[in-house]
Amino acid sequence: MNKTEMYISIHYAEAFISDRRQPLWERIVQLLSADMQRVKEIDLLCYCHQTNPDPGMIGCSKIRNELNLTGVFPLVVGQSGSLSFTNILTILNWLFACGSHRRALCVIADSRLKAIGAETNSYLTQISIVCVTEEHGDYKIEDHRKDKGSQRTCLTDSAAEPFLQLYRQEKNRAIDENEQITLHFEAGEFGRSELKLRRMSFSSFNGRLEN
Amino acid sequence: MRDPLFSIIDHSVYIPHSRITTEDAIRQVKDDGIDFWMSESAYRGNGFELVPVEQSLSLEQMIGAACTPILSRASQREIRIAAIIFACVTNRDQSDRHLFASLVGHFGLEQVPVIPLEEYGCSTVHLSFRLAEAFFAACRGGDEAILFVTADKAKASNHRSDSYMIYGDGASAALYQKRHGEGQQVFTTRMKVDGLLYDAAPERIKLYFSTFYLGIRQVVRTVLGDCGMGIRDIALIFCTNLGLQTWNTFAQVLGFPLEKFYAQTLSEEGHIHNTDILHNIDHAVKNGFLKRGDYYLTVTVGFGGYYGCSLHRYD
Repeated sequence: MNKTEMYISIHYAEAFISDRRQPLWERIVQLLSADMQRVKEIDLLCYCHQTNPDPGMIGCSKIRNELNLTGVFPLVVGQSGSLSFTNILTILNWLFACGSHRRALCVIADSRLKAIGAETNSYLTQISIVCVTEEHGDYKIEDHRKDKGSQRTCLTDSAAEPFLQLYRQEKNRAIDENEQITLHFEAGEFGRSELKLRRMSFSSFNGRLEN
Repeated sequence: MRDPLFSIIDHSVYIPHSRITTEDAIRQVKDDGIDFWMSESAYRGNGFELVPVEQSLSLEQMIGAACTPILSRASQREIRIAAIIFACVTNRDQSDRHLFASLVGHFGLEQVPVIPLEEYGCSTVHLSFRLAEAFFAACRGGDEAILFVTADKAKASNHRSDSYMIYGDGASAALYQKRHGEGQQVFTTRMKVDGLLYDAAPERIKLYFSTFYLGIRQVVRTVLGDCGMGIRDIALIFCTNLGLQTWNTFAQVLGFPLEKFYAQTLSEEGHIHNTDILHNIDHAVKNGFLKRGDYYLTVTVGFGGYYGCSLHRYD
């Protein structure tokens, strides 16, 4: 398989704790509605998750319908811990390389009951919205590969978390042009993967969703 | 005819021997509070008689039963697996998390991505065809393969039925490779996604049931048009085992004879999610209904508005 060039930009990332489970799709639709101009440019809507935050609701389909993205091809990957995002990247590489699609918006979302600490019985929600294209972006994907995992059961890791960390890092300090960043996705029994990114020039950094 | 996109060079089907009658299955789900939409006799009138029920193997073991023969043969032929695409429509519990660990360990596939695809329901097999088309279009070498795996085991009545269908247990696997002249050739594959049912709202359920045959009509006509073929060129149609009544609707809107729909597995195995397609092909080959050189269609419906169709030839 020949790898095609892929670029990513983090549009938005957030984590919050709440005392009851709120419909996650509502928050995602709210976030995406704030940037419809860019959302309308996509030809793939990807939903990556491990938990099922909205029981009885098919998340990607709901978001696709709410935003009237009925011409956009949906892809949903779950059941693989934090590898859900790198699994989507594997598929995007195929679709971009064959020329059928060019621009994907990946919604990475999980919500789970916190099991330990003072906030037991409250929900931790993590959302990252990442654009993947073959044309341009804040970071060039230099490599992503799956490796052997451990036997450790990994119930909680969300693929949203590494992007959340990078998003915060970007806000705290400017990331140098050409700086290499490695994101780690530790999915325990599902395996693990590394995503190696290279910061592109700042001129390609053209705004993101505002909360 | 154009060159095939890729071939299904190997496949394997695991269906448990144990069966219960559709009447017993419907009575059971009704006893457990599922509001099944038709009577036992009406459901049986669709051609369904028995439901395969797994009583000993775990879901992981069912996957192992379906995949081991293929991976053993692939290993002997030094075929490199680039990715495993996995479809499981039935809800899984925590004990089902570790489904591929021993299999990938045994065959040294720990670094191969295992990609569980969701939302497309019983049409995920066609999503796997669509993704394989992209993979092989971009793949210059012919030695890499994609393994598609599907497995379902109902552990509760809400897994056995969604009120509209009774689902059997089973698993199957297929190896896709860009190798012409071997196995089941795939010439064109199309999907249509409506995605109407994202919750249980009655108005959307009504909309889905009043439009789903249009989705099928569109993808089937597109596939035949792509290849310049008509129903006369098609030996058989392997469709999701939705029953004679639904197939008759498809046959009418497409102008096809109902006899083209392969119905030989309907009574004994019923509907087993994505396994229907591979099982029907396997059954037709083993029983002489599909002959080398025959062109055939595969057609799937994913509950909620996911439609797939592909044109194949058995070589």
